Amino acid sequence: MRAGWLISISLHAGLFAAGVIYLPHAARVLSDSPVVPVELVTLAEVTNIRAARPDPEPVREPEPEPEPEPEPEPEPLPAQPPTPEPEPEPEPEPEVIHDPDPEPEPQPEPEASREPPPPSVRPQRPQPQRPQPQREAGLDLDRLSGLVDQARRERETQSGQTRPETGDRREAAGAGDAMTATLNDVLRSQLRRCWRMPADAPNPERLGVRVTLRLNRDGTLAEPPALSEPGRVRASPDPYMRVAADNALRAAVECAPYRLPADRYAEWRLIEVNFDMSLSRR
Amino acid sequence: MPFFRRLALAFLALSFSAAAAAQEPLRVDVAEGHLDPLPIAIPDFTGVDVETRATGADITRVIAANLSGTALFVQIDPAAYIERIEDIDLRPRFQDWRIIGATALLVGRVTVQSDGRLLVAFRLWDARLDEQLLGLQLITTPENWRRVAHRVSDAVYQRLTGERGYFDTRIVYVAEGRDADGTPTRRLAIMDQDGANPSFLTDRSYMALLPNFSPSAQQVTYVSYIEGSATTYLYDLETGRQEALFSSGGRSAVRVESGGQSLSARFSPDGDRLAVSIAGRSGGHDIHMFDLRTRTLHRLTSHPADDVEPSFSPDGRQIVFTSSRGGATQLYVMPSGGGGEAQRISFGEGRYTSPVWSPRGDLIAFVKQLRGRFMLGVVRADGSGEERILFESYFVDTPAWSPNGRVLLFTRGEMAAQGMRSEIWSIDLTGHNLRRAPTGGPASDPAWSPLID
Repeated sequence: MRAGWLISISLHAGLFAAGVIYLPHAARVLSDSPVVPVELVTLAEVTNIRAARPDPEPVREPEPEPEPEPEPEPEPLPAQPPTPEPEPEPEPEPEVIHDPDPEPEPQPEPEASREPPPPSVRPQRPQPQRPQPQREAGLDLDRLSGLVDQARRERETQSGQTRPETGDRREAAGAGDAMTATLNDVLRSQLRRCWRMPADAPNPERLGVRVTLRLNRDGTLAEPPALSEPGRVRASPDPYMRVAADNALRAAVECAPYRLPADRYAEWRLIEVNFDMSLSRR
Repeated sequence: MPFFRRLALAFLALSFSAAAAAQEPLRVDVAEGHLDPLPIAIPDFTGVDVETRATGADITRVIAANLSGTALFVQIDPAAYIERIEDIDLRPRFQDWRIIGATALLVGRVTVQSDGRLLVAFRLWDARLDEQLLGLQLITTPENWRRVAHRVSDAVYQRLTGERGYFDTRIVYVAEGRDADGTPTRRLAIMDQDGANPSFLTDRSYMALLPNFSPSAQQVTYVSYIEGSATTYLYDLETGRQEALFSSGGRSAVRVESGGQSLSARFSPDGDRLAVSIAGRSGGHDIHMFDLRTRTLHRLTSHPADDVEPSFSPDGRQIVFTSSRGGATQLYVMPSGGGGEAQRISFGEGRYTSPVWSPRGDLIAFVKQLRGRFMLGVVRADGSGEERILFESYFVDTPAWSPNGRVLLFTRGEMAAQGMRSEIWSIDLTGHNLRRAPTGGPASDPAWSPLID
């Protein structure tokens, strides 16, 4: 008898706890667009969202380029009386409603292999110069500018076939720890080319985002990447944080398929990537 | 109680096996990435007839120019687009956009409502994460299509960068020209941030210089000369009405001491006060506060040396100004309510002038004159760290911040056959993306309007 009560109570408590934990996240999915001022009404009110289109038609011809209308070079009007006409303000239309945004059904995607096969000869990647570490609060412009320059240099050197790859040849030495370090290096070098870092946001050190990846044996993503701390990141009132989360997830998607040693699959089937600019200042 | 014990054991066993199944992930730290512009595809906004399709194409062109002009985005050549967007409410075929390199996809539609107004709907998609980032509609009169394009640009910019856009803004500047008889003219002019809709505010009969916007973007202060003496004017953009604020005589609102030179008035962030430098009897300038509601003037600094060019911090509590009190002309910060010492924040060689506080609050832009060259730079508002020079030229003056504190406009002068030719240029805070502002002819003294909600 008592056992029955205990089971009942504990299961109900569990259900309640599950609701408390899950429901806020479920609700958050819908309330994401920032409200842009004035003159806005929601899209969903009039749009009538249909199911995904039946079939991608095989029409693949590129669209004709729209004729660029030459914009007349704006010139100050010649001699004009000094009383200008005030520009009429647009009527304010403050019907602002959130977009409830039920997205249309996704359609199955044909797998597109975007990565060319890795070149057979892999030159050792030159060690990138790190900008001088500076311990200053706020936006570090010297560093930022250095990063922009560096990014440009790298883009130049990376164009063409001779893309420097990190050696997953260094792997042989040592036991488990050394191997992990090598895996780390390989992943890091792949991810840094895909990650748009928040270096131009104010105080980018605070914008660390962790992403969990589950990989297939061939290096493709087994499931979409997920934020490790969705609550902290998505609920943040900071718009920069939201963008940082998008950029971290995009990096994880864009970098797939990952090129990793297949015989070590057990070690890299589950990966947590910490995208965090503050780590470079240590 | 054997049953209960069995249950507890079962729980234990379950949790152990769960722990065994949950594999420890491989942890990777990534501290550096790239800063490449984000590739965005912007197919022409759709329409229902020839007219709305044409408007859609116009709107798309303005948005693409806005976004590309920031150098934070790169537009993918429309010739490469595979999917033809016909209905923006259908989920796009993301693989068609990924394959041409698009990270973001902006689609939109223009329709005309029964009351004749334009309804512009758009959706911003993430082609990598296959999700909608933004979906909004804007309603306006058909003549206002440009503002809609700027609003859409602002929304997209903010969603993709985290910072506010600055496209739905205007720029007031001084158009430089010459009369028929060759005398130079300086007229206030206004244009949209992208150079559209230019028009003059003042005529040729007098010189107008150094405009500054009010926080409501409805008023502009500027300086003109009455009988050789610089006088501050307040100009209302809505009505075209203007008034001289201070002078030593005439019908002006507030009498000031002899000479009555008043220069470069700037609004406080709440719009209630003006900080202005006014010449005293001795000829030296001091910073004054002018209360626009009570029309009273009080003096903030009283140093024998010249204190000029005040600019408020975005919270209104402090001002930065230029002073020669330390010998060389340098930048100082002090409380805007008076009291408290002025703290020097510039320490380099050369003359520091034209300080302007960033709307973001962390930086102050300035012009530095050193060995015959002019430099545009920024320094931290608290004076810590190194100053940073963004641009150097034959002549640089009057920096003005974009409302989000990301871009600086400034006057740039270069030697030409007939003397110095002035133009307005912009540069990104990182020192990149140098561009000429699309003024029709020679121009100087830019002032960037705030964002209007």
